[in-house]
Formats: sequence, structure tokens, C-alpha cells
Amino acid sequence: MLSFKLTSGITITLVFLFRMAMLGAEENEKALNIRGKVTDKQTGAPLLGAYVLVNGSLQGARTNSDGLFVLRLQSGAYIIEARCLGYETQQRRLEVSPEQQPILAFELAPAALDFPAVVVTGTRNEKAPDEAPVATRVISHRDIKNAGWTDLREALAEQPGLNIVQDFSGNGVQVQGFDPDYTLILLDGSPMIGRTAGTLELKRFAVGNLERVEIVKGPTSSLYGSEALAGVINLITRTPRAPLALGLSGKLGELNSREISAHLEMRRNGLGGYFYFNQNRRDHFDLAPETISWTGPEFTDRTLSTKLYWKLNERAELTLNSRWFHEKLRNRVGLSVANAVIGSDDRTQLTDWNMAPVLDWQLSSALKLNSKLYVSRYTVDNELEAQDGSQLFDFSRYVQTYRQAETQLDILLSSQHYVKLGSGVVFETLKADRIAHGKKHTQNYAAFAQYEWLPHRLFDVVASGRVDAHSDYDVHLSPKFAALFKPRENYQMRVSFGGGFKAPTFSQLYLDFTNPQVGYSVFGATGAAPGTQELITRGEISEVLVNPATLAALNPETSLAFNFSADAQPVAFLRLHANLFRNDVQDLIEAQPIARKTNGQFVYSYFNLKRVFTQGVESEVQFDMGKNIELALGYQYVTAKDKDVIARLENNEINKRGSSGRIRPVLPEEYGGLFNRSRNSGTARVTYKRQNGFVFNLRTILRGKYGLFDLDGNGILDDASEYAAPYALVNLHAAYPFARAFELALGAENLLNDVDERSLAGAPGRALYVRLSLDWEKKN
Amino acid sequence: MLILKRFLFLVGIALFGCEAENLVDPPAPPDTSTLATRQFTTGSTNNGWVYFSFAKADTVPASVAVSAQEWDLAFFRTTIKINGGTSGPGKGGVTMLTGVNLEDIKEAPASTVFAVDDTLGNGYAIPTGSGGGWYHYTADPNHWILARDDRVFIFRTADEKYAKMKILSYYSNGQPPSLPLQLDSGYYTFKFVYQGNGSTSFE
Repeated sequence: MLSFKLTSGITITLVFLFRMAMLGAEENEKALNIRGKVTDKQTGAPLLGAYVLVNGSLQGARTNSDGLFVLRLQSGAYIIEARCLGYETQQRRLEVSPEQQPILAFELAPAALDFPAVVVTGTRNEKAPDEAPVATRVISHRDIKNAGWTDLREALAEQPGLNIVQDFSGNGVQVQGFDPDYTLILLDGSPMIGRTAGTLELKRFAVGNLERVEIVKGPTSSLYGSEALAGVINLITRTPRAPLALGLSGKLGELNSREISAHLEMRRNGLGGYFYFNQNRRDHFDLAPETISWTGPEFTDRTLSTKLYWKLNERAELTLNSRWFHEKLRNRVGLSVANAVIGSDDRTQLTDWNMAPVLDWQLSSALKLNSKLYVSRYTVDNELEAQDGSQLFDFSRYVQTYRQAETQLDILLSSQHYVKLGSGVVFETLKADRIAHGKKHTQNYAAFAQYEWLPHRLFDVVASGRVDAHSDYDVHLSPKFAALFKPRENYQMRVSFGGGFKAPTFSQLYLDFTNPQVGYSVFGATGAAPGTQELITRGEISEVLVNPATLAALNPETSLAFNFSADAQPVAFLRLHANLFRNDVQDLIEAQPIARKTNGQFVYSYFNLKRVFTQGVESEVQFDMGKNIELALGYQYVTAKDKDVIARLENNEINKRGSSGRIRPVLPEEYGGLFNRSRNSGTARVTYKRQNGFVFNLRTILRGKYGLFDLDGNGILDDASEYAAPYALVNLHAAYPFARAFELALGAENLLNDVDERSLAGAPGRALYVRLSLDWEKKN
Repeated sequence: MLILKRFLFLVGIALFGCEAENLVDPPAPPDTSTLATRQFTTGSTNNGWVYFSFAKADTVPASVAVSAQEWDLAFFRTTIKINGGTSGPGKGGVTMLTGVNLEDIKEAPASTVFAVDDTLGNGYAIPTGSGGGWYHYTADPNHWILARDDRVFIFRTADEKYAKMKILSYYSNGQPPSLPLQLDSGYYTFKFVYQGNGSTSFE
């Protein structure tokens, strides 16, 4: 129907709208009402929201809650197709004339699902990936298995448009040029807590029990609130599928690394359970043996995860998700004590557990309730002791508790109008030495609403908004608008516009810290006024720079973002994806001096100051070469810059030493933007599969040069010496199944042994591994 | 569109890059000064004030310096004080220039206003803290103190002579820090030119 020969997108749209209007006019003249019903073949239940399409035309209808639909057709012969999420598509021939107006009955068989059929993260509704109005990337269980990934860091590192940031705070994920602080990580829809300097350590999450990982880029604060500014990554755990199944696997690798993992799944009548255990350990490694410190710690991680469900009746289901994670970590550091460097053990014990009972209740055909309680606790004990045990330098404990209650109600107004209403409350408690009074409670109340409109089978439009009211910062509103346009089968265009936010961190709000060696003090925003006042009373302040009485409350960091993406599968063996994005962020929080102490040092507190932007394009090409070989290439171009730096550069306020050795202003085009972002990055993957289950894949992560740190003291990235070299990580995995239930796998991480000394990218270097696994399932 | 722009930009650099670079970075004019530029590295300043005299081009013991005019500036970690104002009995003062080359400062202009330490009011003449004074603090993850390459200080010494000075490094090897080597901090390396005849000229 649509002509794509025209080059201007606007013209295409106009022509398209015009044709739709013409069609409408013709229809009205002598169209006949053809009624029908779509039901589940197994249970006979009516199917809501099924598409009934007229092949070769733009016409179609959606079923209502009774499974009924009406098509308006002129006399003639048609092929009518009924499709519904989770069911096999069915086609029927149909003759229509004024004398013959048959009632169409479709009985759809449930689809045997081999790949993820739904995504939930973008709208909190189950949607087929092709029909989701918010672009969602999925890593399936099969992808995880085929690539041999152990933890979330490995899985995310190989996704186009995601970069792993590895630094002192751990391994975090960079989305659309944002630091890891700005991406929300969910487990079955519940937020994961326990960040170190903003980074949620991705290695804490084993991926063996995941059904899929959903990745939504761009802000989704309108549904999830704080942290969902750059994106949302949702880990969906597996549900039991077989009456009884068992899996065991063991992996041996370099640096004495050993991973064992086991799972058990059971299902009978309305009850089911999925139990998963994983243990992973590795020795330390040291790239600079001449120093006392080790480069990487030794660790032992254990994960225990369960999912239990109980189908109370046809309409209600209870689920209990729980996860327990424990990590023992030991590192060696050199401590300067009285002009001598003492080798010390830096030991950490980390425990992270969560539990979520969830009730899903279909109140009526048009009303669905989802209620959830969620509790999570994150504890870190850290001790620093001289290697010979003679002296304990430091002991600290950090305990974060998160309690959430949330309810959402889905209301189906008609087959075209869906409404979702939700509300929730979060109570958080933090106990830490550096927090004012050692302990802090906070509350956050939230309400959100979403309206989805399907005006035509080619369009899906969603508007959502959320209000967050927190005990220590202003009420915040996050809106979002998203739309999907499917000009024809296998083509999708999506656009979204929305606001994201990130709440001030515990430190930014409640920190109370004085550096014992240097003597400076830092107060969180809520404690700045009383803290400074106390220092004045004690006679430790020589000058007040900002009157404590005038300190404004610290507010969330906020963004406005625009995303436009297009997906196309012009031929069966070729899939194309591209996404353009722009994020404008304001009120980024920075520490600034508020007073000078008599010891010459400053008192700092936090302010909403910085403005940055990120923009770029991300794309992927997937190509099936014949039956066995699949090729995938991903590429991202991103720039992320500080707007205030740009303004200062325009005023010639920042200088550098030029190539002739003389100081001069930095040219605006020399500014490389924020540190740690590669303008160019990419992924490449070749997979070879055989009918007998043999899989071989070779994957490459490419990262172009990126800013490492300032070296010339001008505070910005501008000099060639401040960049880290580009690198390529090549990973290999080959798996061979045998004796029905067994599989032997061999693999290599960082095959080329590309390690950067300065940035530690690629550390610890090439690592070979072997894995043996058993997957047994009782057939029905 | 972005890619196209970047491509055009790259083509532009390739075609005109060299010429543009020369315009931006002209070579230094020949040095006509009769005074020598000297370089000095202090010991650790982490355990108390380390005093320095431009005339001696060396440190002065704290026991002598504390009440005398025989020192011009002193270092204690990242803080620098001068022998003038609230910090000492001398007539010392300092002015801070930005975006200039040390060798281009031919004299202290007659109109120069020399600031003195005023720790009871405005603070040290060389402001402490990142970005305001002589260094930039990189914060997480490296916590480096980087000497600002574009800052030059003109000192009026305790006995009213003049010196120009630029700080190069805060680390024990006199270089900017670099990974994975961990260097001891609190060591100042600086370049200076001292005019001992009372004139403001550095030629």
C-alpha cells in the first residue's frame, strides 16, 4: 500500500494519511459488518486484544474482553488473519457478499515458545517485542547459554550501545553516555539496591537463572521513579516449565576460577518452584608485581535464588521471588603509615538479599490487580588490617534496607483504550559511620498512571506520568510520551519524549564526614546548616562563604530526552535497527565549598549545578547467512559534554599547553567531553549452529579511544595524553551436546590478551575455561 | 546526520589540520632574559610547614623561619602561605595570572595588586581548594592533585624583591601522576625566576 520511493518522510506520511482517509470514505458506501470471535483453542476462553487483520490491506480490528470483533468489509474474497500474543497465528479464507455475511470464529492454539515472546519493562504491560511502543532489547536465556555468560557484566558488555565502566567502584553499565548511577536495575520488576559511589556492581548478578534480560534505553522515570534516567535493565527470572527438571554445571578456568551451579524446577497442578544456586570463585591477580597492591582481589560469590508460585484459582496467582547473595572479597593494599608503606589486607563481606511476594488477580475481564511487597537489605562489612595481623586500621559497616509496597490496577476501557493506575511507598533505612547520627530513615510516596491508546492497528500511543514525594526533597513529576508506528509487517518506528530523574544519594543528603588526615569536612545537604553552625560554635571556621541560612534544599537531577528508532526486516535473513537519542540533563549535583576552616581547608556541601547533554546514534545489523551462521554487528556513536565547560571554552577561560609548548586557550573542538566515554564503540558476533546442538561463537567488543583522566590540571578532557587507547576484547565459546542431557563447552575470554595498564580494561587478560553441564527434564 | 557532520569534520581536519595547528600554537619567541630560570623540588610537606626563600633558592629550617623575614613562602600539603599579612612579618605579596607563559612575563606591571594572607578574613592570598588556586583536584577515582599548567604567580618577597614562579608537580618524582604507579604526594616542584636587585623586571 505504501510507496517508499519518495525520499521525504513528511511526504510519505501525508500520502499515507490521505490514503487512509480515502479508504475510510470508500468503506462507508457499501461496507458490511462481519462479526467474529477469537478464543483459546485449549480452554475456550475469549481472547482480548487479539488482532484480526485483512491481508493485503490496512484494515483490521482488535477483540474486546469477550473476544468479539467487527470488521467492515465490502463484497469480495479475503484472507483474514487472527494473531494474539502467545498464540499461533491463524488464517481463514472468507467470501463476503450482501447475501453472505458469515460469523468468523477463530480458535487459536497456544504457541510453543522458544524465544522470549513478551517484554514488560517499557510499559509495565506484557507486549510482543515487535508491538511494544517502547523499544526493548532482549537478551534471552538461549543467548546467555550460547555465549557462556556467567554474570551480568559479561552479558551486558556484548550488547550494542552498552559500555561497561570498570573503576574503583566496580563494574557498571553506561547507557547513552550516562554514568552507571543513572540506570535502574530491576530484578523481576523490583529495584536492586547497594551501590558503591553510584555503581551497582554487575558481577553480583549471576545470569544462569534468568529467562531474559530486558533493556530499555531512555528515561522511564514515569513508571519507575528515581534512577530510571538513562535506562532500565530488568532481569526476569525463570519460571518452572517442566513437571521436574534438574541442571548441574561446573566450570574451571584460569586464576583457579571455579564456578558451580545447580537448578531444580518442579511443577504440579497449581504449584511450582524454581531453585537456583551458584558459586563462583577466583584468585587474585597482579599486573604490577613491583607494588604491594594487587590489581584484582580474590573473591568467592554465592547466589541462592528461588521462585515459587501458587495458582490460587483461574483468576489469581501468588508468586514469591527471593534472592540471597554473599560475597567474600580479599585485596592487598599498601597503606602509608608514618612514612612507611605497610602491606594490608582489605577484606570485604557483602550480603545482599531480597524477597517479594506478589499477587496477580484478574478481578474481572476488564480489571487486573497486581500487588507487591518487596524488602531488600544490603550489608557491607569492610576491614583493613596489617598483613601480619598486628594492627587493625579500619573497620566499617554499611547497612541499607529498602521496603516497598506497590499496587497497580489495569483497566481495559475498550479494545482500544487501556489505563494503568499505580501507587507505592518506599521506606529506606541506612546505617553507616559517615552518615549524620549514624542512621537515617526516609520515605517516598509515589503514584503513577499510564494511558495506552491503539487508534488503529498501525499505531500504539502511550502517555504516562509519575509523582514522587520524598521526605527530603521536593515533589517531582516525571512525564513520558511514546508512540509506535508499524507502516507494515516487519517495520517499526518508535518515538519517545520524556523526563527522567535521579534522586540525590544518601551521601549527597546526609553525609557527615571530616577527613582525619587532611582536615576538610563534607556535609550532606540536609546537614550543612546545622553542621556548619556547630563548627562555628567550636571556633573551627575562619570564614563563611555561603550563609547556611540561605542553603536551598537539594533537588533531584533531571533530564529531558528524545529517542527515535526504526526497525526493519526487509528480508527474512536481515534485521536492521537504529536509534537516535538526545538527553539534556540539568541540576547535576556537585560538591562546593561553603566555608573555610581555620586549618585552611574547606567545608563542602552539595548543590544542583551542572548541566550536560548526551547525544548519538546506536545501530545494529543482524544477518543470517544460511541456516547455520548468524552475524550481528552493533555500533554506537555518542558525545556527552558539560554545557558549562562549553560556555567557559567560548569565553577562552580554559587553557592548555599547545604543541609548541606554549599556554593558550583550549579550542572548543578540542574538548573531548565527559571522561570515560568512547565516541565510537561496537560489537561483532558470529554464531555457528548445527542441528545437533553444536554451537560456536566468536564475539568482539570494540571500544574507541576514551578520556581516562585529566593530566594537565585544567580539569577537562582535551589533550591526546588524557585518552586511553582503543581496545578490542575477543571472546570465544564452543559447546558440544552429548548423551542427550550433557554438554561440554570450551571458551576463552579476551583471546587477544589486550590489557591496558592505565585503565585496566581487559584485565586480568586472556582466560581459558572449560565447562561441563547436565540438563535433564522429565517429559510429560 | 551526526555521522555525516563528523565525517566532514574529519575531512576538514585532514585537509587543513596542519595549518590550523600552526596558527594556534606559534613557536615561543627567543629568550632574551639575563636571569636564569631555576627549578626546585621540596621534600615532603605532609608533616608541617616547609619554608622557602627565593634569594637562597632553597628551603629554610622552620625554627629559623617562623618569626623571621628570611622566608618568602611556605607549603603544607596543598596550602601555600606567604610571608606577609597574617602569615608572617615580611612584606610579601602575590598576584596570580592565568593563561600565560612563565617566559612571557617580562616584568611585574606597575599596576599589579599584591594580595597578602588574611586568614582571619579573606583567607590565603593563594586560594586553597580545587580550581581556585594552583591546582585542580581530580576526585574519584584517582584523587590526584594536578598543578594548573596555565597559572603563573608573581611574588613580592618578604624584603620587597620580585620573583615569578610556576608550580609543576605535587608528586615525589616531579612529574604529573600516572597509573598504575602510585606516587607519594605533598612534594612541590616549581620553576622560578628571582630578581634580587629590587627592580620589577625579569629580563
